[in-house]
Amino acid sequence: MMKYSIYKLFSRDMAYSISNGKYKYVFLFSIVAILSLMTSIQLDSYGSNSVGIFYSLLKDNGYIYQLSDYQVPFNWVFIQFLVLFLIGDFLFQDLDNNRTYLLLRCRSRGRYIFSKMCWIVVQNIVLYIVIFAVIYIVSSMTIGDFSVGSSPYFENAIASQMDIQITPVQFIARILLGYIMTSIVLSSILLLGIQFISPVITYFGVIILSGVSTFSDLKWLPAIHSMILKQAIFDYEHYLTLRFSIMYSVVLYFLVSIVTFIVSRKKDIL
Amino acid sequence: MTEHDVYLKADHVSKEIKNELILDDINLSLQKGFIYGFRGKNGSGKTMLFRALCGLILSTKGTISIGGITLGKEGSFPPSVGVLIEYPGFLNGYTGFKNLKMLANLNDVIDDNRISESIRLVGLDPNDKRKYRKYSLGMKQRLGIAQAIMEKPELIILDEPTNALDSDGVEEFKKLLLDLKAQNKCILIASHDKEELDYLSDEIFMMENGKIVDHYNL
Repeated sequence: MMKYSIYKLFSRDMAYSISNGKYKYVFLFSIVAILSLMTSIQLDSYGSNSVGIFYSLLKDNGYIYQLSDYQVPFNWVFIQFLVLFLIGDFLFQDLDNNRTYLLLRCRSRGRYIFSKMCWIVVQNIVLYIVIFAVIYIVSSMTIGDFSVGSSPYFENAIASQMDIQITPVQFIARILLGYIMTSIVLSSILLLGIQFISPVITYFGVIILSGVSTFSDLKWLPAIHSMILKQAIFDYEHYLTLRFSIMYSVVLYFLVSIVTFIVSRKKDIL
Repeated sequence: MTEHDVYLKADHVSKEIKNELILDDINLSLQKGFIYGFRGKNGSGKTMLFRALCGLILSTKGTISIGGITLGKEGSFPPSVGVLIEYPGFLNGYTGFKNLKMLANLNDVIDDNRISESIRLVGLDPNDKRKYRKYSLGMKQRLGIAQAIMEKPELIILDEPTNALDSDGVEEFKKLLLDLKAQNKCILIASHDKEELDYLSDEIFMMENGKIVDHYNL
C-alpha cells in the first residue's frame, strides 16, 4: 500500500513538473543548443568532434594557483544554476500550492517527502541526459561528424593535459556523472532549505555553496564533483577520484535526505 | 449531545509559533449532520484552526480527535477529510476534469463518474475541454470546492469558499452544502459574510486573536 502510494505521488510529481515546467525546460534546452552551436563553430577548424564540444562547453576553471589566474567558468555556472533553478521552482511551487491537498490524500508527510527525493534523482538524470543529447546532436550536426571517438582536438587539447588517460566515451560519461551527482546533492539541499527559509534565500545559498567550488580545492564541497578539470584524470596531485566523488555525493544525498525526512515530519504547514 | 455523538473534538488546543499564541485554548465538540460557521477578522485564527484540524499544524497543547483518531498519536491526518484552504495549484494546461483526476489518483477511492458528478455538483461541465488557464476566478473556486467534496469525505472544511463566486454560484453552493449536511457530513466553513454564515450554519463560532470568544446556535 505504502509503496503504491509513493509510486502514485512520484508519478504525479513527474507529470505535474513536466506539464507545469515544459516551457522553462524548452528554454533551458534552447540555451544549451545555442551554446553548443556557438562552441561547435569555434572548434570546427581545430578538428574537434562532439567530445571536444562537451569538454569546451562543460569544463570548469580548474585549480587556482594564483588569484590572477581565476576565470569564471560561465557555462559551468550557467547550466548548473539554471537546472537547479528549474528543480527548485517545482519543489517550492508544489510545497506552496499543493502540499496540503497531496498530504491529506496520501496521509503521510514521510511519503510526500520521499516522493520528492525520488523525483529529484529522476528529474536530474533525465534533464542532464537531454542536455547531453542536445549538445551531441547540435554539435555533431554543426561539425558534420557524429563519432564520439578520438579526434585531433581531443588528442591535442584534452588528452595531452590528462594525468590518467581515458577514452573519449569514458570522458563524456565522467562529465555527465559529475553533473548529475552534483545537481542531485544540491537539489536535495534545496529541498531541505525550503522547509525552513524562503526559496530565494535557499537558492542563493546553494548558488554560493556551488560558487565557492570555483575558488576552492576543498573536496568536501558538493559542486566540486562536477568539475572535470579538478578530477584526478587532469590533476593527479589533488587526487579527486571518481570513486570518491560518487561515494561522497551518494552519502551526502542520503544524509541530507534523512535530515529532510525527519524535520518534515514535525514541520508545521502554514 | 453525548460523547458518542461527537465526531470532531478539540480539547484545550493551543498553538504557539515563535512565542506568539496563534490558537488559544480552543474547545470544540462537533457532530456529523451539522454545519459550523467560523467568523472573525483576518488573522483571527480561523485558517490556523482549520489547518490544525486537518493535522497540518501540530498543537502545542491539547488534543484533537476526529472520527475516533487522535491526531499526532493514532494518525497524522483525519481519516476522511476534504478541504479548501486557498486555491489548490491546479495545472493551467489541464482541463478541470484532468486536474481532479490527477488528485483523485493519489488515493484511488473514486472513479471517473464520481469526478464528473462532483464537477456537475458545483455547476461546471465535466466535458468542458477548456484548460484551467481559461477558467474565470469563479470557475476556479468551483473546481476547488469540487476537489474538496469529490471523495465523499466525512469532514468537509472550507475556508472562504464563496470568494469569487457570483450570486448564482453562491446560491448553488448553499444548496450543495445543505445537501451535504443532509448526507450526514460534518461541515466547517469560514466566511466574512455574516448573512451567508447565518443562513447555512447550525452553530457559529466567533474568533478573535486565536481564541473562540463567542458561539451561538441558530
